[in-house]
Amino acid sequence: MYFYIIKKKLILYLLIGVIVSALIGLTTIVIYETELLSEYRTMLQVIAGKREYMLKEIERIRGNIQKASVMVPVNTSAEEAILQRVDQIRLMPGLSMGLHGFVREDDTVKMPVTITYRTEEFLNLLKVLQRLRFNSYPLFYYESIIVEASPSRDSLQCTIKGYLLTPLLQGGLSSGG
Amino acid sequence: MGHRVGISIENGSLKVVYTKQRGGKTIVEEVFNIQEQGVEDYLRSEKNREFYLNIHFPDLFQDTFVLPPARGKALQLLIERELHAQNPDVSEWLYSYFITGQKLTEAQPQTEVLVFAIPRASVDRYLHIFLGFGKKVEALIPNYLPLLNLIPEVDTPSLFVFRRAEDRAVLLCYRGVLYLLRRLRGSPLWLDDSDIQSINMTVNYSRQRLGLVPEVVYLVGQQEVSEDLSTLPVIPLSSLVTPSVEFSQSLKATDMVEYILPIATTLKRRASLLSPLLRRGVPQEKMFLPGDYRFYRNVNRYLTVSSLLMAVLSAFLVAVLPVKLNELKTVRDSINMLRGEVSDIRQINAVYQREFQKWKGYEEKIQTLQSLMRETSPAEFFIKVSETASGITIDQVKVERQMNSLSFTIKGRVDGEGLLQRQRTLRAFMESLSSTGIKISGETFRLDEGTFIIAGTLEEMR
Repeated sequence: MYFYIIKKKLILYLLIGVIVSALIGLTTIVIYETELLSEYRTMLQVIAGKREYMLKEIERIRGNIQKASVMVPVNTSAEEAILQRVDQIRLMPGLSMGLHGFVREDDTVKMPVTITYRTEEFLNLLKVLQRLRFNSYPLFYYESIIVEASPSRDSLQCTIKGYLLTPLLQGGLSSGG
Repeated sequence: MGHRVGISIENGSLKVVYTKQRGGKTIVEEVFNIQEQGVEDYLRSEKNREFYLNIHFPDLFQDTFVLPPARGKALQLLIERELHAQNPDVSEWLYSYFITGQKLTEAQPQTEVLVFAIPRASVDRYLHIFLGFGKKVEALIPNYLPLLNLIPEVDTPSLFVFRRAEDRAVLLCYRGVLYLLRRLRGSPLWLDDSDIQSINMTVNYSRQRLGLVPEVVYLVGQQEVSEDLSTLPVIPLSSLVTPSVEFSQSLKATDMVEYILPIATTLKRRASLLSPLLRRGVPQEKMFLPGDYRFYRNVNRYLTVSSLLMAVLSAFLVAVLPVKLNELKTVRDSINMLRGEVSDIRQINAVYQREFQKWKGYEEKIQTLQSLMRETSPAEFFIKVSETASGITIDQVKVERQMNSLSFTIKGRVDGEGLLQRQRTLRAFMESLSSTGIKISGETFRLDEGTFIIAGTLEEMR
């Protein structure tokens, strides 16, 4: 029965209550929204970082593929690559080469070869053997080597059997993207 | 401000006192009288909002009830029922009580309770006047009961006599309980023979009816006693000193008697006779305030405090909101920027996956090639042989690749004249070969011709 005295106060209180509730609600929404968007931003930052990483990786992989395409020729060019290598080997002085045609296995192309070489210096022989293997593709793979001194012992006769080999990619992939 | 304003309303006039609490004492700073018709003007102009009221209700009910033994709420219920039985016209009472004793009636234990009660309507009339001016009534103590705020708890039954003009109030107190309150009239000047006779009669009444023998009479306030008394009191007279109340210099000490009731109304209750009543949960002075008024007061206080808190909270939120909104805007801006940056992420991922798959195709082949490249080169074998062939002439070396190794055959001749020398040279050659990791599996040596054939293997060094 005494509340009529504070009727205005009650209405004011109600009004303040509504305002405070609205402010609390608004602030809560803003804080919640900020938190939510902050999380979203963090996620986007991670994605942006990933994007940078992927771009660098793409560059790195393309570089590797470019290097690898020298070692592993694509399907149709395997024979050509072997023949190019044969031409290179033939250019070595004092060296002759017997070719046996291509042998194609599952994912490899081989060409058996017989190389004869005559030299007066043992050191030259070592150089030839090293050059046949040194960072050149298709790879020269040794099967047997026979080195004989001539009866007069003034020269060395070397017979090398082996094959030129290259793995190949099926499907004719092209390098680069 | 900071004053406690005590008002005593009696016979159409208001006695107003302004007190201040300082160092445990009540300092009376101002006293004055106003007429009841001027109360509205006074309340309108008064800045203080809280008031301590002493109202002399002509319809104050006072009686001793003999009730079945009960405590707390049950006792209050019995008191209310008894009040209603005795005054059926009054719908609601506001009351306070003192349990004055236990007695046996027809072998049944009974509780004696001294009850003071006021009809609710009488209280409401005054409350509405004060509330109408936005004032609060902190305490309401009727008639002479504020004197209890001055009376200490005594260990012997004692009478306390208060005189103001013709009015006298005689209170019998013992161990914090009020046993009797009598109102008398007498000489307007002092306490005379009739007063002493009344005191003596009260002593006898107390002895006979209450079983208490008062041992001393305390005169409350500065009371004057007639010099030519012909009747002597049956028990000694003494003055009650109230050291907790002081008057400011502008006031006369004689005002104490005139204004003692409003002053007593404003006093702290802790050291008074009212203090035992606090244990009942509701202080004495508030028991005469209606329950719904007390509820209204609590709600009002809650509203005031919570409004303040809400105002502070609102201010805080209003301050925080722009900061948070600004933060939100910053986050949104950076999100928009990032979204622009990563809009092509799907295409980039597709390219990445495509390139990666392409590289997977190469990787296996490269590993096969690298595995072949790591196999021991025949050149290494020739170097080892050439480095160890001291005193040896090699005619032919044949190397063949086996599974995980190189097998070889070396044909040659040993230089030297003697057989022993040839033998030693060949052994040295073979030991040298062995020391380079070459395993010799067989040998044929013709000492007489000096020719030999050595066979062995060189394990792959991967």
